[in-house]
This record gives sequence, C-alpha cells and structure tokens, in this order.
Amino acid sequence: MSITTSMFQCLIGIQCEDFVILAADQMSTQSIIIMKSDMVKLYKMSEKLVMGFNGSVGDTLQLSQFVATNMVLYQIKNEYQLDTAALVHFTRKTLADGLKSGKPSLVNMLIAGYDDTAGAQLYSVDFLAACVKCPYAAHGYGGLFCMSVLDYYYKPSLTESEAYEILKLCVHEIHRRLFLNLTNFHVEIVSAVGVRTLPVI
Amino acid sequence: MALIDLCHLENKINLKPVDSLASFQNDVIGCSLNFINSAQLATPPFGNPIETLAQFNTKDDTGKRVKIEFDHGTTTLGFRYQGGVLLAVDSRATGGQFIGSQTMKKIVEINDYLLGTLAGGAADCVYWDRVLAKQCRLYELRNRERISVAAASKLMANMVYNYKGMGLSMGMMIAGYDKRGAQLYYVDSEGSRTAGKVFSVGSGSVYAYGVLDSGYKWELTDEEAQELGRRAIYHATHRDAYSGGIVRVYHLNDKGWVNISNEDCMDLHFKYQAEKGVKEEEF
Repeated sequence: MSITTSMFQCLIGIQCEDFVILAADQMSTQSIIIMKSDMVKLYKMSEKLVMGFNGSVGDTLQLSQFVATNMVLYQIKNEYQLDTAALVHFTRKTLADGLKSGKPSLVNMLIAGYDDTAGAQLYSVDFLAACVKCPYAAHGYGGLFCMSVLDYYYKPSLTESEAYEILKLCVHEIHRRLFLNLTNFHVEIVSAVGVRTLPVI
Repeated sequence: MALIDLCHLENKINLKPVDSLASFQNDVIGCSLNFINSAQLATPPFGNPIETLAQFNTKDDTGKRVKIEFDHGTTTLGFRYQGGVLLAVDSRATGGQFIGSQTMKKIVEINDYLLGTLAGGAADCVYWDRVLAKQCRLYELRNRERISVAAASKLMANMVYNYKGMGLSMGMMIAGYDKRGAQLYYVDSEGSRTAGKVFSVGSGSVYAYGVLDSGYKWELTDEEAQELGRRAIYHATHRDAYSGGIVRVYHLNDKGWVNISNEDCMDLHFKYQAEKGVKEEEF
C-alpha cells in the first residue's frame, strides 16, 4: 500500500476563535472499487477532541484505536484527561517511533481539540510524523484545491455557520475540479460545549 | 557485536535463525511453532521480511518483473437484506494462467451461524479461516455463548495485521447472525475491517458489482436475493477468466446457514441464454 491511497482521500480542518470544524470524505476503497461511501473517518477521542484519519485502511484503524485506548488508560491512571497538545505529542511520538522501528503507519491526521485554558486548537500531523499547529489545514489531493479557498475566505472571527459554508465551498470545488469521486463529507465541530456532528455535505 | 551494529548487518541477515539452523531439531521446532500456537507462523529466514519480500515484487536486472505469483482470481459476494445475509461464490482456483481446481469450496463454514468467504491466496485464506474457526470454538467453550460477528472479524483482522507487508494476500467476508441480527464484515490482509451491506471481492468483483448494485434493494425476498447473488456470480464467471466452475449460494438467517444451491456456471449459462430466447447453436 503506497502513500497514493491516502492522497485519494481528503481531510479539511478550520480553527476559529471558539471552535474547530473538521470535514472528512467517507469513501472506503479497494483498488479501483468503492466498497462503501458512508465510512466514518473522524473519531471522537474524548469530550472535546476529534481526530481525522487518512491513510491505508489497516494502519488508520489500528492507530486510531491505539490512541483512543491509551487515552482512556491515561485517564484511569491519572484521573484527569490528556489535553489536546499532549495527545498530539503522544500521537506524533507513536508515529515517529513506528517510522524508526521499520514498521511505519501510513497515516495523515488532523487533530481538533478544545481545552478550557488553551481554547480551540487544530494540529496537522502527517505520516512522516511532522506536526504543525495551524489555523486551517487539509490533506490529500482534495486538500490542494481547498487551500486557496481557505486562504481567501478564512478569518479567525468566523462563526460556526460561516465556517460550515466555507467547508461547503471547499467540497463543491473538490466536486468540480478533482477527478476523484468523493461524494460524502462527514463534518464534526468541536467547541466549549463538546463535539457535535453537522449534516453531511 | 559492536561491529555488527556498526555495519547494520542485522538488516541484511537475520542472526537468530543461524542458531536454529545449527541443529536439525531446532530447525524443525522453529518452523512448526504454528502447530502449538496457530498465530505463530515461521517468518522467512532473513531480516526485515517486509522490505526483503518486497524486492521479489520489483524488476530484476534485465527489467523483467520478478513476481511470486499468488492465487488471486476469484469472485465472491455477500449482501445483507431484509431476510438475512446472502453469500455467493465461484469455485475456480487459479495460479497465474493455470486452473488448479474447478470445485473449490470458497465458503468456509466456521460454525452453524458463521460463514467466511475466501479470496486471494488460497493457502492463506484456508489456514487463517481454520485458525479463526478454532478461536471461535474456544470462545464458545469459555463463555458459553457464540462469538459475535464483530468480535470474530476483529480477531481475524488483528491476526493478519501482524503479518502485514509479508506477502499475505486475502480478502474475505465474514457473515453471521448474532444478538444484533444479521451481520456482514469485510476483512483483508491490509488490515482493513468494515461492516457493510453489499460487498464483492476478487478479480471478478467489478462484474459482480454491476449486476448486484442494479438489482439490489433491502426489501428483496429470499428467492429474489438468491437469484440475484447467483446471477451476479454467473456474470462474473462469464467475463472474468479467473472465475468459474460452480456457483455456490449460501443463505444465513436466525436459524443458521443453509446451502441453497451449487450449480455449474455452464448449466446456468445455457439456462439464462435459453430464457433470453437465444437459439442453442448461437450460445
């Protein structure tokens, strides 16, 4: 499984002042065949934390479950939860160790979290374990089209509905210009009140 | 040892099997560990099996592709509908251009309420399905209830994920009936595991999907579902050179699985052509 498969998927994230919004395509493919078009690639890790995964199927599945179970383990041990930055660090370290041990996970991620102290945050982590905190990010070929849209329309003071509309613009651009068939985009929003699922685009 | 580390020799050769090769006895033990623990297959006798095995799939010095040919050709399908799950498969086993068998059983009866389909490397599928059958039986004996389909498929996915990249090749569907009703999962050697309504796996799957998607709806009756599955496999055997033989149809519901029919795809061909009104000499 090469990294091209992860480029055929798409993940978009926008962070504003008091929320982060994530969108992921819902395709599950096997060579040239669409196995499923309602797969969920955004996983809720805790009350105010969502991770989006793109990459080879087995790796995304195993890594997301590994991170999720370790998060629960941490809470049981310490009676408080990992915050967003800590989870990002843990995930990045897991990826980096895997890379060195010769069994790399081909996974690109966006991590969206809301902490009471640090507010809304968005991190982008790629399969080479490079990690950046950014106001908006996107993965995959679809992400290339989104970047200019986001560059143009993004401002930190966006409201939730405005951000959702910008996501729609991104998805419409992907539908128009990308040769891939990424029909459904699953959208989740993380804010002070927790994680909510928005209508599929 | 320091020199070995410095030269990164452990990447080129596996130092441990050298010890086991020293005595025939150790060698036998080393290569038959899976008799004791079925999930402990003997890995190839060199370091870094993932990278080294990948070399066999690349070009040689003359630019010709060297490839270990695994069996790949198959058509299997499964779908969930109002009346349970339906599985249909062909029965041809191929190795490259060669047809090894026309009567293979590509549906494995794991227990009375659980079926698995085989596609990909025949040996891999048969072996891991047997291991899965054992694990499911053990679960039943330990917990006094049947294993759920979700759990069984996860066992499978986790077992094969450990061998990811080492040349395992399988794409299987696990169908069953448990407390949550009829279930269908797709599991493959890449480590993916997804639940779904309609799946088709194998080289003929593109053809099978064509028939299946156009005729599928949730409200199918049992007879309609059986005919749809049979028809989809028949069309795949017609177009795909690596699929053929007998079209086997299985149905699963709250009473367990039933083998509905095993029909030769040639007989089906004549039947369907006759239904169309095509004259015998034009078949």
